[in-house]
Amino acid sequence: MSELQALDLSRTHVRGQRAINALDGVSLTVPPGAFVTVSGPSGSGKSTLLQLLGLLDTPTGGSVLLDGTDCASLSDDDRARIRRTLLGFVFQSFHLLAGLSAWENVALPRLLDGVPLRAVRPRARELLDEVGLADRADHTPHELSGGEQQRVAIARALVAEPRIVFADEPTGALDQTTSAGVIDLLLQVTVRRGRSLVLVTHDPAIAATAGATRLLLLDGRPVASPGVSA
Amino acid sequence: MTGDRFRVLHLRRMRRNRLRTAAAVLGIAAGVALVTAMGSLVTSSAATARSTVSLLGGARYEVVVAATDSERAAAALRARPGVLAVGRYVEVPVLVDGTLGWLVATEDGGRPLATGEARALAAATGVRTGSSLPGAGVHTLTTASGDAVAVTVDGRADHHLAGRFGGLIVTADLATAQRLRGDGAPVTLLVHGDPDPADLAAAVGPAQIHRADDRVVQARNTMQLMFSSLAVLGAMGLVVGSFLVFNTMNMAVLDQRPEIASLRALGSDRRSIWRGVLAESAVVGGAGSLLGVALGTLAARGAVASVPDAFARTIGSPLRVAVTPTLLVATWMLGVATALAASVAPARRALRVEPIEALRPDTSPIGDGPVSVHPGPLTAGTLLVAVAGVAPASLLPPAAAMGAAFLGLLALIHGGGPLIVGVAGAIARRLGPPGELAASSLARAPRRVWATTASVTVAIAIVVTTNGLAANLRTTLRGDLDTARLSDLWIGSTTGDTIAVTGLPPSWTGELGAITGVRAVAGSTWVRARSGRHIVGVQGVLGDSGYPFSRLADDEARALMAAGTGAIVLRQYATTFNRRVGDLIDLPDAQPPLRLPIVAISDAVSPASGGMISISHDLLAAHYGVSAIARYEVQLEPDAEAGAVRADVERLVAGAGFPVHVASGQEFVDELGASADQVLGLVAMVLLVVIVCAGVAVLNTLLASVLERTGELAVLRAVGATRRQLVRAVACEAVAIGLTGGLLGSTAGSALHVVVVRRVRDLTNLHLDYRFSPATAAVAVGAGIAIAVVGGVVPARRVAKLDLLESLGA
Repeated sequence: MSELQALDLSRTHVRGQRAINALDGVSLTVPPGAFVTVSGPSGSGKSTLLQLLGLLDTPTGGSVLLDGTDCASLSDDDRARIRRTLLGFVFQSFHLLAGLSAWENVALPRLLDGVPLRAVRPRARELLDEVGLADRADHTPHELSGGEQQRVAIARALVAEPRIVFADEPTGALDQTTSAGVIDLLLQVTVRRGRSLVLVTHDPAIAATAGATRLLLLDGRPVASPGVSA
Repeated sequence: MTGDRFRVLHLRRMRRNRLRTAAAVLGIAAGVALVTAMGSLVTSSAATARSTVSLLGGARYEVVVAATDSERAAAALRARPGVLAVGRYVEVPVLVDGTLGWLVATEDGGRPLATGEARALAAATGVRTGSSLPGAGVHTLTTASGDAVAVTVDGRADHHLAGRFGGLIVTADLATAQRLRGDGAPVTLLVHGDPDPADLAAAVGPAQIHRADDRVVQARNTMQLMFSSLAVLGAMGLVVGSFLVFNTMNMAVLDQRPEIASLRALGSDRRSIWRGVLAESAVVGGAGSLLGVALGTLAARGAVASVPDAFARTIGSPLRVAVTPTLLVATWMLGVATALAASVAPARRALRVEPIEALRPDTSPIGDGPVSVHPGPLTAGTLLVAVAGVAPASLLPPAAAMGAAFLGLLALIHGGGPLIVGVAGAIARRLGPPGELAASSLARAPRRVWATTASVTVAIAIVVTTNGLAANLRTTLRGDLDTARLSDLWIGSTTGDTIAVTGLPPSWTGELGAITGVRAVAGSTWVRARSGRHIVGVQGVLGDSGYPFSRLADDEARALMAAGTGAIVLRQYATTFNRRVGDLIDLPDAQPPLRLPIVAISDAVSPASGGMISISHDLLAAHYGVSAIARYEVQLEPDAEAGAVRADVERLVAGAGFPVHVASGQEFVDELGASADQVLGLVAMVLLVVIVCAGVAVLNTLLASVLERTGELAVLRAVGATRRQLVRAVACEAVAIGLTGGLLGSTAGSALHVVVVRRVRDLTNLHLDYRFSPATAAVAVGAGIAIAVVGGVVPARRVAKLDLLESLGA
């Protein structure tokens, strides 16, 4: 299983003459099977941290280590390969492809890996069954509710058997009841099966889910408080 | 990229955006169709020539010798090393009951011939006809010697030959063919084997030896003389198509930005994204090109039919439509390459999409990116246009100069993007409140506006250039043809737009002169001769002919020509062979050899790639064995009754035994002008296709603009905008784009017109006059607006039908 480490991670954005520190000196370890929640107010750097950990962006300071390898030395293509094979993503806006059915959306990461759709189909349908959407496999995203779309996105995140799943405000576009179901589902298919889950949320209740290692960010820096790692 | 990935990620999206995809496919299809149709002119002429070459049975050389010397020459040639066989060959136009056909005959020279056609021809007996001529029975056959004889046609020609020359072939055994043609004409000897041409020249003289394959080159030369400028314009049609592809792919990348970001986040590498965009465009280009070659193949028939007979006849036999696999593959690949090239910039944009965009909650596009001034292309464009305009023809070949001018225009369009977009926005803002709305929409998608306006600009520039060139050509040709009015009646076996190569009886010279009211009788006869890799027309002139070839020369030169002491040549001949007045020239294929000084150079239009030489008719009869007159001219006394003379002339020619056409001077000028009108018909076809392409480009852009702004338009409706106001805003966008394209295209087209006229003058050696037509420029601006308004109809209807609640939901 993979261990993910962030060492003194910083990300500075330059806007004209101004430098904005979106993240400033964050260190974090995500051991195999860990459940980490990252919370904080808007603009605190939660999503920036997730982008860096998920190899979607490169830090301006510090490093991200995956199984001890500094990811700064990886090429863009290598990072894409890791995202495709070791990591899974669940986005706030789902980002399902409109022209694809639910099962095809689930199969997408494997398709990007060059695997024919028909070879992935059984596994994609199995995953949809796991997230409770077996009967919606052939529906397109616009025929699904928000909660259903997010469950398809969760199944998609799992299809490549990732070791770490990143979820960026996965309940941000959902109502409270649906949100609880989605979080429960996420935990069930990740942490309870030995995968790591890094979950970004602005909801304190979700951040304080039992068993979670909590990281609270404020202005790009970790904040130490009871029950929160810093 | 796997097939699955392409099918799922790209093909489905193309299907979802059917209209946009169809527009791009149509744009490429139209461009490729144009190039295919224009290319078919060259391949058809070459194929026709090749078809004739196949009748030569694999002979390596053609040797033209005097009939009286043919036995000696054949024996001398056979004795040369490398010569396997020498056979005689006859190829001559004839009228069969008034229909023009081609009489051919050959012999094997004692060895098996290399092609089935030649073997069939060598074995031919009696007189047989092709499928488009009268079949078995007794028919009147008229030859260049002017004899109209009753000939028994034994039936259809061998199946290898019946369809040749469009079915207008007449086959005969060699003895019959020679008898029908007239015994005095030079004889063509076919030399088989692989001899050294220098050896052959030692036997018969160098001027009489031609490579058999040269016929194909000559055919190409002849077609390229008149149609290379149209081919350049056809290729420009493809450029309009490429702007459509650019627009389509640019919009596709813009629409897909969130999707591309998601794919990147999910692990797709940049290379796959790049390949995906290019593969999509390759499919569009491939499908469009496929459709284009199909349409072009259909249009080829029309293009070939629009070749004036005078040009087709110089090749030697009727043009047959031939669209070769090489042409189809080449134009298909050109279409695909154009589509790929047009999508490189959008693909690069797709490459720059970062995966973190997927994490932004709202990734809907807010614009399609800025257009920048590119100083490099601006400078290069200005230089290219300037060089194309002023560089001497010796440094820059005419076709290359025209290509450079158009490339310069494209570079200027590329480099001056902000200017184009700025003008469109400024025009829109002057159109009132709906115009302000339109301007904001235009400002939001500058790349799309640039590409669309560029399409309209290029289309209008092509219209202005082509139309101006066509008008100048028409004026010049018509001006030349005015000399034909100097003769009051023209008499020939064909109308004026077809070269009369079959003869009228020589006795008519006296009989026409004896008619009351006739002051003088003139006439002309033509033969085709070959000089190196060019076809040269040789005109034998009797009296004071009104044909411009010799009539444009001064009186003194015409007198020298009539006396048989000089030749008048066309500028095309003088330029091709680098000759000046006073130079001595050896007349090609003359037997016995004939050397004359050039006494004048005439500026008339040449139908042959090597130009034309006018000599006295007596010399033509003596050295080319053609004593008949192909077309008589009658000049009347000042007080003669024209109607009565014409009636007498028609009575005389009615006894010819075959149809003879009589026309007044004006009627003959109009008939000659019909050739120019045929070419102008081809020009009109090119223009129509280009204009349709530009219209589709505007439709594509405006429709995308409407679809992209559905939500915004709904909000405007919700706060009180009427349907009519929204439709007006869309119309303002269309007018702003059309007017900008019209103005810029008209300006660019006028500049290109100057360059193209000069280069066509270099290419054809015509004394082509440039005349600016303000009316054409004004009409072009109007056409720009019309293109845009027509292209705006569908998007405006969409806006008018917008469902408020549904759109707000979207």
